[in-house]
Amino acid sequence: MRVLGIESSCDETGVAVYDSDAGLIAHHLYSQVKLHADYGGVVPELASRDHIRKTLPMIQRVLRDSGSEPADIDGVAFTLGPGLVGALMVGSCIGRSLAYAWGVPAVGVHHMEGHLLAPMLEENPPSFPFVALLVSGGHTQLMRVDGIGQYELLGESLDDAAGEAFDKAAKMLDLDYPGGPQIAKLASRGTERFKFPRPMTDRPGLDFSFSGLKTYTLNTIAEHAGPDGLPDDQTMADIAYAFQDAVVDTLLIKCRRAVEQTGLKALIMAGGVSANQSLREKLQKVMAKKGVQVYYPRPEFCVDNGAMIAFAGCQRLLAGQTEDLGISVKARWPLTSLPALAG
Amino acid sequence: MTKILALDTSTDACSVAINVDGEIHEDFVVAPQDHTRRLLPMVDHLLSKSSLALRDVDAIAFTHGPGSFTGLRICVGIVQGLAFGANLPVIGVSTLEIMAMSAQRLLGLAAGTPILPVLDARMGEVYWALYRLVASESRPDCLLVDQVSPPEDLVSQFEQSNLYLVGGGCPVLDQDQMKHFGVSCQAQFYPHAYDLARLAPELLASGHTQSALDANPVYIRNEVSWEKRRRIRSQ
Repeated sequence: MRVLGIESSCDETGVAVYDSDAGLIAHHLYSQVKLHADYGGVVPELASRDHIRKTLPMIQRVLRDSGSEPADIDGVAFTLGPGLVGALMVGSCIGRSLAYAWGVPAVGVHHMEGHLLAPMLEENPPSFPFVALLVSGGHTQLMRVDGIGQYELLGESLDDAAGEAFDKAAKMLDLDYPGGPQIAKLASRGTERFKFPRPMTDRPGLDFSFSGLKTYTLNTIAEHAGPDGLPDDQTMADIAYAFQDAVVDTLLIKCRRAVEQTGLKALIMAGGVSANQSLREKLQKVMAKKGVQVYYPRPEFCVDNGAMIAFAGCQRLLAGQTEDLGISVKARWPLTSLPALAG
Repeated sequence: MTKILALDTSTDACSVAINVDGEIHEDFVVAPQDHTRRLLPMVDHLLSKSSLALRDVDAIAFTHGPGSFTGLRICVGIVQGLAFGANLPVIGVSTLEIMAMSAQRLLGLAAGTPILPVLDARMGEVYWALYRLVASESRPDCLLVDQVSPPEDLVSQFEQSNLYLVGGGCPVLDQDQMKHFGVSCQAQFYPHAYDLARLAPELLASGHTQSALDANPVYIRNEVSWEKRRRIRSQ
């Protein structure tokens, strides 16, 4: 089965063609990051306007790159949620109507299921069951995954998502949006001068909280601020280092607990924050000690992309799941509410 | 035989029409915030009622705006998918022009009537244009093109005059501003895909078509009114 996948839930337009026999055969990603950087965050109306301009030309390009004629496409998958309503509507409307015109089935994909299954696009894919750490701008969750659609929530952030915390801290440090790569870059020049708290690690459980770190960052900046309200460059780098270290360490502690609690020997990490190099290295080290194999997507598939939507959609279409002609995008949509696939 | 599929979701109304050689069927519903759920089933229903497959259609017409930003993108998104998938040309038409045509047909307005379709543009402004109705089967004359302005600027464009106001933008004008136009307005008035389907064969014949890849909303309001962040230090 050959599936066209469309992602438009936030500020990236992603289109891909995945084939259940040949694997991923073409994909293209357009990031709106530059468009939103001036505003310090995603402006929903601008995002939607960009998606409606970019999506169809990208579909044409990806079809060409994949050597597919429309008749070769057996199904269309699009992100139905969660995400920005206006942005989701663009990809969903185009995807659903395109499937209708081609006379093939369509399926609405859960964005986070896309992320969760993204490591399966790699050469050495994990097999079920495994623990999944989903870390992005909108989510920080630990899941037990026993199969596609068989998700048990082990813990999640009670306030800000990890990626959101990175963005907010970046803003305090006068850095651009998105904050993750900016903080990581600044932190690479930082030293172990400050020690930030590791929220909620002093009690049992797998939930996270990152909003306190934000306050701690703000206070540390204020304590060392110069005339323009910001500390000197080295102090800024030291704060970035301490912040990143605290987030990474907190994620590590909870991941370790999750594998201990479940006894599982595989852990996958996905979502935008999983591209963080320090997080990858440390997680690998910590898990190796416990005999746990770590899997993650290649960096380009850590961020939002069409390949993961085409892949997840293909699995659900193969299981016979389809979407009606009427489209209801979902701004909020618990991952645990998805139907399980047999087998 | 010319066959047109026409779609509009630029206001709270959602409508689809099919024109098969002059015979027009329309499905029309006022369904705020429910367009994505309604539009494609309505297309499918009308096509099957007309015993047509999508690929039998010669072109897809849509109202490109102005209107609700989200509504315009729903329509354009659906039209892009349908037209690209079935390899059909598309025809984008002003929402305000279709409102003028719908008003002529549904309110029985005479040729020569000046008509001012107005839509709520939010932020205390209205989208508007001025048309003069001609013979009922023809395109109205466009006297002033689609634009966005505060109601006081709209009023200042005209002497005391008998213009016919239609559309959801009427309540944005206050009573004095309404009196200025001297004619009661029809606020509960929506564009109808019927009239888009009526107009489209003429546009198809004269080559006013685009590729699905070029189908885009015409927002009219394009200025970026979001505040940019201020950086403390330059990098």
